[in-house]
Amino acid sequence: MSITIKDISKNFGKFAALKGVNCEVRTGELVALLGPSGSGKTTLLRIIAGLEFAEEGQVFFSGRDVTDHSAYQRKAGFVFQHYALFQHMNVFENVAFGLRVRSARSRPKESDIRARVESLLETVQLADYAKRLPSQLSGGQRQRVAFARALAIEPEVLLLDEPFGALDAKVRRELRTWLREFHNTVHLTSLFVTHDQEEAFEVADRVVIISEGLIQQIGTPSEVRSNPANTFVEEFLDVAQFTA
Amino acid sequence: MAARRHVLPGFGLTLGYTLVYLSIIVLIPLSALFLKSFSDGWEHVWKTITEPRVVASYWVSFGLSFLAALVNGFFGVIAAWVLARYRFPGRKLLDAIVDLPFALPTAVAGIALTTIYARNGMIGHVLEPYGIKVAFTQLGVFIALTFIGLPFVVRTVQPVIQDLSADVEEAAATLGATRWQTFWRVIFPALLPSILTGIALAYGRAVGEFGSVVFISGNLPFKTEITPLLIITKLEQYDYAGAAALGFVMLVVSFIILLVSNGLQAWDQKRRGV
Repeated sequence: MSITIKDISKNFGKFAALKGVNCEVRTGELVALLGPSGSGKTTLLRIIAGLEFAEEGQVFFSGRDVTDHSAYQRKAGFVFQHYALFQHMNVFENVAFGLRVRSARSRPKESDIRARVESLLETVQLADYAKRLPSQLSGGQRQRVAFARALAIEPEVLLLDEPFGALDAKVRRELRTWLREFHNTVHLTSLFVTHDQEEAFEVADRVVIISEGLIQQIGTPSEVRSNPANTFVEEFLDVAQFTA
Repeated sequence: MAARRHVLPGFGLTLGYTLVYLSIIVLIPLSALFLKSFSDGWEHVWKTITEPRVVASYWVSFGLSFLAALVNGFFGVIAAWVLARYRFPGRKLLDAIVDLPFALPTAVAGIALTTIYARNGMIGHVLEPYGIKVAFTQLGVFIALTFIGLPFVVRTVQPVIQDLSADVEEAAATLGATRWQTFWRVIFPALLPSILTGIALAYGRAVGEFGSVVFISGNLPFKTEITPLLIITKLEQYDYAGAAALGFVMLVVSFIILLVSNGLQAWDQKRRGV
C-alpha cells in the first residue's frame, strides 16, 4: 500500500508545525523522515496514523482518502519511541491485543491467535519471553515487542516514531540492521522518523528531509548526499558528518 | 551470616523507633482494649456482641459503609478522571473542594447534611412529596458515609491517572481498539489497584465514622443506630467491658477488611504475572 500526503498544514496554536507538505511513500518502500527536532516530522507521522488531524490537506492510503478516518479505522502499524507497551499485560498479551479487540466476526480463533503471536515472537527473537511483563525486559527487547505488536494486526503500512531513539548505541545499531533485514523479506510500506542522519542513510530506500514544517529534499541517500537541494540540507548534512 | 551492608546505615535505629512508635500509638491501646473486653468473662462478651440491637447495628455500620465505599469507588473514579485529564475553569477550586470532607469537623458535616436533608430542608422538602425520606433513615446514614469517604478514592486514583502515558492509549487506538475497549482493557486494569485501595480506605473511614452519622441518623435502635454509637451508650452506662467488646468486634472486622483488600491486590498482581 502506498501513502500519499497532499498539502498538509497543521498549527499548534500560533505555531505552524507543517506548512503545506506533499510527499509519497511508494508500496513496499522504506522511507526515512529526517529532520532536526521541532521540524514537524513526528507531527506528520502522527497525522498519517490518524493520531493527529491536519487543518488542511489530505492523506491517501493507496489512493483511498483516509483524511477523516480515526486511528482505529486506519490501523496503521505504529511503533512509539518509548514503546508504549501495556504494562499490565505480558509479552504474549501485548502482541495479541490487536487481534483480541477485533469484533467477534473478524476475530481469529484462539488457536490462530496463539499461532500468530508465537510466530511473531519468533520473528523478533523473543519466543522465550512470552510470559514476561514489559517491566522485566530491556529497552531493546521492549521495542521488539512493540514491533511484533504492531505487526500482529497485519498492517499495510508501518509507521515508526524514532523507534531507536531511547536505546543505547549498540542495541540501536543491531535493531537498525534487523529492521532493514526484516524489510527486505517482507517489503511492508514503512515510514520512520529520525533525527539521526546516519540511521536514515543506512536503513532507508529514500530520505525525506524536513525542516520548519517544510520538505527540503526527497531522494535516495546517495542523491541527497551528492546533490543537496539547498543550503539547509547542505549544512544539516555537514553537521551530521561532523558529529558522526 | 554476614550482615548486608547498605549505603545508608541505620536499619536497627529506624526499626527500633518504628516498633516503639507503633507500640505506643497502636499496639498497646489495642491490647488494652482486648484485655478489657474479657474483664467480665467470656459470657458477658458473647452476650454483648450478639444482642439483637447490637447485631442490627453491625449491618448499619458495616453494610452501609460498604455500599457507600462502592458508590465512592464509582463516582470517585469519574471525579479523579475529570480532575486529572481536563483543564477547565474552576478546576483548582473543584480539586480543593474534594478535600473538604477530610478537613471539616465531622459533626459540622453531620449537622449540615441533616439540615438540608430534613423534611423542611433545602433538598429534603424537594424529596418529601415523592415519599423519599433521608434524614433519620438508613439513606441518610448512607449519604453521610459517602460524604466522608469521597476524598479517599479521588486522591488515590487521581495521581495514577495523571501518570498514565497518552501513548499507551494511542497505541491501543492504532491497533484497532475502540474507545470503550481502550478504557476497559488498557486504562481500567492500570487503575484497578488504586481503585481497590481507595475503596478500602473509604470503607475503613466509614466504618469508624461517628460524628457526622449521629446527627443525620436519629439513632433509632434496629434502624439507624451505628455500632460506634452503641459503644458510647455502653460507656455512659458504665459497662466498660461491654464497650470494649464491641470495640474489639469492630477491630476484628476492620482487620479482616484490610486483609481482604490486600489479598485482592495481591491476587490482581499475581493474575497479571507480576
